[in-house]
Amino acid sequence: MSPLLQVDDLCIDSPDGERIVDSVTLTVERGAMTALVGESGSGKTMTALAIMGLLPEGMVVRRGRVCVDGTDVLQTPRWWQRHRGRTVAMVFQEPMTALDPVMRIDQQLLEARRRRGPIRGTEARRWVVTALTQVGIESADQVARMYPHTLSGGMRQRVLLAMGLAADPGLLLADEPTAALDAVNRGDALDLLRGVAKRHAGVLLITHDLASVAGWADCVAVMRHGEILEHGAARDVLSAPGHPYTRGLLACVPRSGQVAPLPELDC
Amino acid sequence: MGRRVESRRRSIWIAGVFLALVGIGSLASLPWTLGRDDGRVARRFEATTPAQRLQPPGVAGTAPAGWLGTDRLGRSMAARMLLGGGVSLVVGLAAAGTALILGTAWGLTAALSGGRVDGLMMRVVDVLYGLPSILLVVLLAFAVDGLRAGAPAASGGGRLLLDLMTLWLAIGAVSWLTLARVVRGQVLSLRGRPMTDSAVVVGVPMHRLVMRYYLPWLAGPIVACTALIVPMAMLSEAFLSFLGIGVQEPLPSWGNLAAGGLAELNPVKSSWWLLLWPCLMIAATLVALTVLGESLRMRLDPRSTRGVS
Repeated sequence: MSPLLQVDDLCIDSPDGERIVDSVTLTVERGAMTALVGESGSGKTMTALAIMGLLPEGMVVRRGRVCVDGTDVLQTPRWWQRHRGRTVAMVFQEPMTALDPVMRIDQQLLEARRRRGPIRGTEARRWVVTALTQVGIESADQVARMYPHTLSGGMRQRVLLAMGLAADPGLLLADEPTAALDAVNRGDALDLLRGVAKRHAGVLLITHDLASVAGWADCVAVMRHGEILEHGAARDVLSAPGHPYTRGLLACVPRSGQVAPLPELDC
Repeated sequence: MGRRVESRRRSIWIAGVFLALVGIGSLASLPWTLGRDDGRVARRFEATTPAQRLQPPGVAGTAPAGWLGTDRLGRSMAARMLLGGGVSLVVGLAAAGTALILGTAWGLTAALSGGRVDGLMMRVVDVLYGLPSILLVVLLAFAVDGLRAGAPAASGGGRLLLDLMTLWLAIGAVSWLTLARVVRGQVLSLRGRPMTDSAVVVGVPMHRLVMRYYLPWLAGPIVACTALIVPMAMLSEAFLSFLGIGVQEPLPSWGNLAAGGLAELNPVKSSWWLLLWPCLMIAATLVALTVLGESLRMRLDPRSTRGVS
């Protein structure tokens, strides 16, 4: 059986001919979470957008294949129109701007949920509360009726996550889903993503933060300058990094034992 | 500052009340201006009373029909002004409505199609923009007239109605250009926002995207733009009727009433009231509509600093 997501030798060029993504090969298995780690500008997000069929204007896929569930989606016209949301969904990284400020939370969630079939009335209300509770929002029935500007960054990020999960996608791409969260919430969010992966779906977690990967991801791919430097089981990559860059990334992860305590202030 | 805001608010009020009076007046008087003649006074807009011709305002008895004077055929100017106002307003509003639908649809389609289709559609707008719109209206009005010449002639009321429809379509067909540009620009800027992207990536389909995500943001600019199309459409109507290719006698509109009034100006005996009323009303109505439209634009246009954010 083919893996849930198989990216093969994917090359993406920018409008001025620069290679943004250089023969990236990547797999996400069913029920597993793969982390794509790299610094800003390494081409992580472009890879994800290519998988979603949403490359910005001018960006071209030069060669390569993106197979979701065995279908080469780059070769199948109109695949995304039918499968976005249901088969593959994505969560963006800007929690402050990614929600429509003039629409209530429950309405936005329901727009995403409609992909799965019609729902209305009390059933819809109950579903919204469940969906919000599931991503760790307390007093969900109040939050459902709020507008995005009244929520904190962390809350919005959770709402976005709930939107991504609304249509029950088989594959979820999460682009820096933890960037706006503090350490405690970050753990919760990653637990949640891991739960999603375990249930049935694959998760591709895109992050610059190698620390957040340890303990949660099953696979790690390290990316730099558009190339995959290393790809393997998380345990192997983290314990015995093969590439100096990975070693460097691991070295800059702050560890609780090594952090100097705050100096006493005498004022 | 405070005084300026105050005086602007007052002018908006005056404009609104004036327009409401004109609208309600011409509507409420329809039974009077279109009603059957009962033989005593000339009330209906086309009823002639040759004995009373060219009476100055207030002279033709105490009946309201004579308050604004009578024309060369002894028709009541009051009745004709009221109905003419109704005709002008209806044509203006209907044309703006047409422009609203056409412009929004055109701009949306262009922005959503993108690429070559977008380019082609917007070049069409550019070309039409370059042509003097009044010329286009004249040509369109003539074309429809020509088409109708071949068809069996409609009688009486039917012909008047056809006239009005021609005018409405012709003006509507040239008034949507600005709106199409505004809508396209707004959609393009909305499309690039993270909030639309995040809706697309969770599978919100195109029609829901347009209805739920785009239209609420477009409503303000569209309303503001349409409000300013109304006076332009009314002016086009008045101009065409003044030239004699718009609303046709005996149906009055402020434009053809003004034309009639101009014909009556001569050094021997000037019937000034025939020209004054229509010109006064056209000017006042256009000013009122523009004041209201501008104030709407100030409130709704996202680029204006006083806008709601």
